[in-house]
Amino acid sequence: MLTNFLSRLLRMVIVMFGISVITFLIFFATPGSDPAARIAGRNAAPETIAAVRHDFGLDRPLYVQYALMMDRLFITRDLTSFANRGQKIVPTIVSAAPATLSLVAGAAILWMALGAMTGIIAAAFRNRLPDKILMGASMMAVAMPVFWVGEMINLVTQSRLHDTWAFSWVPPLGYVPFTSDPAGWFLALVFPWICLALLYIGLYGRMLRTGIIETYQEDYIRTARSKGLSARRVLLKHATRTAIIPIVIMFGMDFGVLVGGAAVLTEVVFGINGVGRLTYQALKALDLPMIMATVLYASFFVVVANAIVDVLCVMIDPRMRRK
Amino acid sequence: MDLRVTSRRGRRGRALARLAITAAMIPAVAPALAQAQEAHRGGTMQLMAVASGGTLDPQINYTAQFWQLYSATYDGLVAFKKADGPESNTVVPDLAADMPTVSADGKTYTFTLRKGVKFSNGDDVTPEDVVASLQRIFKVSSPTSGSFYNGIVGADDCLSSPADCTLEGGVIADADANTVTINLVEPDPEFLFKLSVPHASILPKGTAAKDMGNTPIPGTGAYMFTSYDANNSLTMERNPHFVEWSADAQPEGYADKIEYKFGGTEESAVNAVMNGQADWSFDPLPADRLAELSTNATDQLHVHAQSAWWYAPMNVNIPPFNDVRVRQALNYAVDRNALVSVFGGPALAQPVCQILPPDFPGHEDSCIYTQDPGDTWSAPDMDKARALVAESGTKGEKVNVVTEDNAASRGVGTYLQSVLTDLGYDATVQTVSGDIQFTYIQNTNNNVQISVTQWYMDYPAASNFLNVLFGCGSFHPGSDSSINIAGFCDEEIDARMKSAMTLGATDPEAANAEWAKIDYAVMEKAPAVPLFTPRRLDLVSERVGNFEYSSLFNWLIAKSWVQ
Amino acid sequence: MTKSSEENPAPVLSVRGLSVSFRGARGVWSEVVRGLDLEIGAGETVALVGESGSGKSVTSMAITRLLDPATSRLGGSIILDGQDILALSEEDMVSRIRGQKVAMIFQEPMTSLHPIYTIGDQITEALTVHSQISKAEARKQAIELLHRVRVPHAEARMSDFPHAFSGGMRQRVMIAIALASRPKLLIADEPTTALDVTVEGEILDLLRDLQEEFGMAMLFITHDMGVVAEVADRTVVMLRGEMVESGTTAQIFDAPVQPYTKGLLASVPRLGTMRGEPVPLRFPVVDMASGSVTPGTKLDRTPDTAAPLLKIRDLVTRFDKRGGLLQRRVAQVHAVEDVSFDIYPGETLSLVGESGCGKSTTGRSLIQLSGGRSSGSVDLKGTELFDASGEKLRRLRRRIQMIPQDPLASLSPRMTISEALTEPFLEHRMGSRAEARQKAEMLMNQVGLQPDMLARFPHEFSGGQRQRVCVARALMLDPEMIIADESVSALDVSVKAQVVNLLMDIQQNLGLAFLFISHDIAVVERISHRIAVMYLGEIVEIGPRAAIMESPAHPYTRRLIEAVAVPDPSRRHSRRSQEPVELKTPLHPMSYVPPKRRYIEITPGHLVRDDAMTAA
Repeated sequence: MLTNFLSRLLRMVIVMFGISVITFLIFFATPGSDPAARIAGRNAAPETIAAVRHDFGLDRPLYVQYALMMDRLFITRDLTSFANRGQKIVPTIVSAAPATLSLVAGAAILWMALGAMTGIIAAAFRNRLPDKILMGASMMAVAMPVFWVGEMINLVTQSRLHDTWAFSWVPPLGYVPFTSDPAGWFLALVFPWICLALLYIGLYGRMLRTGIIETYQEDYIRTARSKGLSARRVLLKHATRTAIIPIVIMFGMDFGVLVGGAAVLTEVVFGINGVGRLTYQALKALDLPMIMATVLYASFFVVVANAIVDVLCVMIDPRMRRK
Repeated sequence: MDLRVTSRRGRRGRALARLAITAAMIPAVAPALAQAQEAHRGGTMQLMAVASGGTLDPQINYTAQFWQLYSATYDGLVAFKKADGPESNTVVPDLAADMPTVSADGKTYTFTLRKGVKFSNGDDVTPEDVVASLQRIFKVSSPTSGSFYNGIVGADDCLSSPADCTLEGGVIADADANTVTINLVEPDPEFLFKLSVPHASILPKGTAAKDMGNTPIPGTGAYMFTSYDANNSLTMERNPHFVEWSADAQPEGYADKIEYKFGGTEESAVNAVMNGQADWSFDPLPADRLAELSTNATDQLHVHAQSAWWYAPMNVNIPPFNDVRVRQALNYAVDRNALVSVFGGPALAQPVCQILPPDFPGHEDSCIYTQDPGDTWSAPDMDKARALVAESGTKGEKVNVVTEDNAASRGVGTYLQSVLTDLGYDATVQTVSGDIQFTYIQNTNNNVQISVTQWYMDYPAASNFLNVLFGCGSFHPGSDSSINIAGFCDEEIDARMKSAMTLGATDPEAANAEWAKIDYAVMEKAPAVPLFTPRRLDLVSERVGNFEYSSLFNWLIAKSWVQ
Repeated sequence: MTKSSEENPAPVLSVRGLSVSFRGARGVWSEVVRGLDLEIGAGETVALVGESGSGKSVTSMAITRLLDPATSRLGGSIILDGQDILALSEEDMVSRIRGQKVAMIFQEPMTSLHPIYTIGDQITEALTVHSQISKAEARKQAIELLHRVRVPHAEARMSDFPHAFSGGMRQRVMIAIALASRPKLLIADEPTTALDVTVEGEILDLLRDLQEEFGMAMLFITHDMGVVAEVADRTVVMLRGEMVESGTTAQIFDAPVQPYTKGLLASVPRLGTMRGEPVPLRFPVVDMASGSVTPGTKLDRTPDTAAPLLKIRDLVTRFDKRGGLLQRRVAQVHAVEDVSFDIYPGETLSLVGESGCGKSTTGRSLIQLSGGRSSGSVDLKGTELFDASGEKLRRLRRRIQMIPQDPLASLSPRMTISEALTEPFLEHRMGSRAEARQKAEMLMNQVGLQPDMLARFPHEFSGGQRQRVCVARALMLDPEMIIADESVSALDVSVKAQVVNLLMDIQQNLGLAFLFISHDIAVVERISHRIAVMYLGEIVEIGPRAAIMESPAHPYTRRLIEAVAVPDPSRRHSRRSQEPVELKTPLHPMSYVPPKRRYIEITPGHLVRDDAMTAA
């Protein structure tokens, strides 16, 4: 167990090191990426740019810059942004993380519950009306762009019907920290959760349905039926449990990636200032320290989420214990 | 005078909107500001923006977004008057009790400080604070340290070695007399403007000589920053040590508290303002909401012209724009009306044909490149344009238009591409991320032929456009910071600009007349295509009252009430 | 032994005029079973026998109503223990029939158990689903059942997952599940087909014992006439959905009436028919329509024993098992251990053994496709294959071609046969496109297919045809040797005989050497010049075919030959004496040093591992 943990840790460090080096090199290979003039301010005098260049260590060899950046990111934790002089990177990400985590975790619960329900119900009624309705709806959910859905939700809840009884309870856009107002936290996140979860409900529902239907071709389902188990028991206990494994694996990836910043569209539409928005802004502004930090943060979550998924899979499927 | 006077430049979305009518340095007679109407005092003002403006350090931050806030939180020795309209271009005494006494040679300014003014941390403002603040401009490598304040005696040493900056002989404090004397190397008619911008804010002398980032620095204004998280929000509350000393320089505010939230989209900000969840949003209004707002929220909309232009600088040093006929041809061919529609219609822009914006000091109506040359632009002259291109023999050459990656800039670029194609060029559009395009197009190493960009004034002086954008001193080949994007350097015109600046110190009127001629002379050489002047649209919530607009700081937040 | 049906006149299962139809594409119904009559009494075993597509498995699914009602239709009548099955609702089937009156075991024990529940859970579930018994009681009964089906250490193994069991043990677990409810009828659908011969015998013995003990009726579905002869009281022969012939097993075997039955019986490879034959003999050619049999002809070409084509010396292949912090090797599977043999031009050497014995790995190791780490020496007419890599290896591989077990999986479904055949030819730059095409047409003829079939896709062929295509593909590259890895194992008996005959024809014409890897000893006996028996990665005995088959020296060889089911009803009920054994895997820690083996030459060319003498 311990060696397993340590080996994962080692691999994570290697992965993160590789990613950071690649990010670093890509940055400096990008034309127009030299941050000195941008840090110095518009039309700064050459002397000013030189001073800034020296101040930020941009006149030193790349490997020294890399080492310094890592040192300031992980050891002294006082790395500051290139685009937003004086903004400390680590506290910024630490303060943005709860918003993203709240958004993604809530949406994840929603999409896992509804996605599983969709898949199971559709599989149970395959090729009949409930299946067709659910699959049509999930196809739509998958096809609709998140940004557009978010804007539509906002148009209805914040603009067109905001003053009606139906949506007058919807708080203004933005994130309310759980610690300061749990009820406000919940209300403010209801629509973001729905918006983010929609795509995944559709995706997971469709995948699970296909998985269950495929599982029904398995010999062990025939065994279960020949034992005299009811259709419901065969569906839930025997078919769904195996079919859910790929979903769990996918969930791990999706969750990790979203917590790492891929929920940016939902974050922006609903004014939730999370890590995704930070990453997006950093990329737009070619803000290397912030890019490095968010990329490392994202890769950390992807690795961690995968580790958790591996454990979950072993719990669900004992076959995986062998390896 | 080493006038590497350069300028602040707003980005689309952080537009610095200022309307300059006069460059007068006459101490304004403060109009009797209405007694603070007690009924309106109090409440919390809610502001929104898609993103924050970066560091909170007033000597470093160079965004219109936060300069607007600094107008109510920090003071310089002098300040632009906090007033609506053209009056806001006037410089008035602020922490100085009166306008300075200036020596006959124009090189020595002496300021007497007001008594009893305190920082928000309770300390008195002393001459030492002023010396420390002016030193700090160099110590923190303020963006304008090498362009605005390099004329102060001792500034050269400070620029080459910021950490040891003393401004020896340049800034002298006299604690007993409560005065500060500033010595310049050469006279500078724009020096008081430069002292009025937030980079010359007076801060406590103990302030660390580094970018303070998100940590608020105590100031002398009516409000002080109480919290700032660049990723979420900013709050301003009343400065407990503030006592109004001049309503012109630093008026007391109405709201008790100002909250600024960052995030969301322009679209959601409009909804929030319309729902009364916010009072104002910094970002430009989405074009698709304009029609609806202009009918539903007429009273909440405020339109103001800006001292700015959108233009397309053409690199005069590489083909095909190294041929003046090609540059002139494009100027003839561009349909400004079409561009105005691309940008969102006449509500948001006004066609232009010359460098200095309408109503700007030195502006005189004239248009060379139009159907019937005269005062104003009327219609493109394609025949003349085609003839010029034919003469130049450059037809069929490749031309690449570099734009930012936002819709407006891309739209303008695509339009220019179509015009160039019309003229027989093999034209393409290259889109570069908005945050790096500006430095990208400046660097001659990138061989940019023509680009789409904007310039917003720093302070109301003609040199801020002409000398900065087209002076030889602003051209630094191979540097990311070479604001003369066209690479235009005409010895004769450059000499005329230098003498016009000198003339401005003694005879502003005559100087402005000369600037108008220089504007014409530069346009004859056509280093850029003037496109249009953008206008600023502000949408405020129903409860906001007393909307006043300063050409330097946009909406004067402190002067509006929310109840 | 007397038949219980005579004591109990009312049959447990009575099927009259059963028809089954499936809805295919575009809603067209097609009848796959027509007018089937069947009757099984308590304690009686009826075999339903036929080749693939005969409808025998569909019949079993119809009896338990496990076919999807949306896409299938049943006609006729099925009376099970007095209940009219076709008149019952699905709910009744669940609550009263399945798992109570009738239980089933299936062909694939590897996949028929749910992979993610313990076998204890799966047996207890069968016990508790229809009766109200406590968990503890259910567990007790489950352990008891495992004892009954002779799973060693039953109690400890309750918490194991199916993957921890061998195929034979899984089939025992399946039987335990089936017996949980003491059914009146047990349907065994090809229960031993996927098992090794030694295990097959054990399972058949077990089923017979349990049937006696429980007095069940048993419907035994199989394609294997040997198995039929061993277990069935009566036999029903099916062909394309219809019953061809039925009667007592003795009648069917001794005096078949229908030509198809005759043909089927004639096609069955019988062990021992080669006794006294000096050279490999082709299978008799059976005309399934008339049942007439033309005896198989001899292989005329004799191997050229002057110099070996392939000399294999000390071949070792090991697979790593990794673990720990740095994923270092912690143990090794000794899949092939110190194997040496020669193959001569024009000769067929067969590798036989049970699954996991390393015979397939040996074949793949020769051309470095095993995926493990191999050492030793493989000398192809003076060229050392193990020294080759990259382009050189690729050219050498051309000379040794493989025919796979599953032709469907080895042919790309999106490539026409023409493309599949010409691609390797062109890849090896053996000629122009036109030449490739010409050769492909010639080979299609040679393997008994029409050249105009080249334009078709793999799915348009039957299993036997696809295997012929694979043979043609191997021949495209003019190989000197062919490795046939279980190439005929999955084919129906009649087809199997044809493909084996085809291989022998090719050997006769082209003088190719074959390494024939198979677990089917009856086929091996036909085709081989020499046979090598493998066990746990090692050769235990190697020698001329007659020597191995007629005087096996190693106890394992004897066990292997004895276990083969003999299609002779008169020999049924002869119990095997061996206790069930779990087949070991040769997994050893890194420090393990395999013992050095010595071989004793009993007669010229017949070598046996030296432990045979002590063990025997």
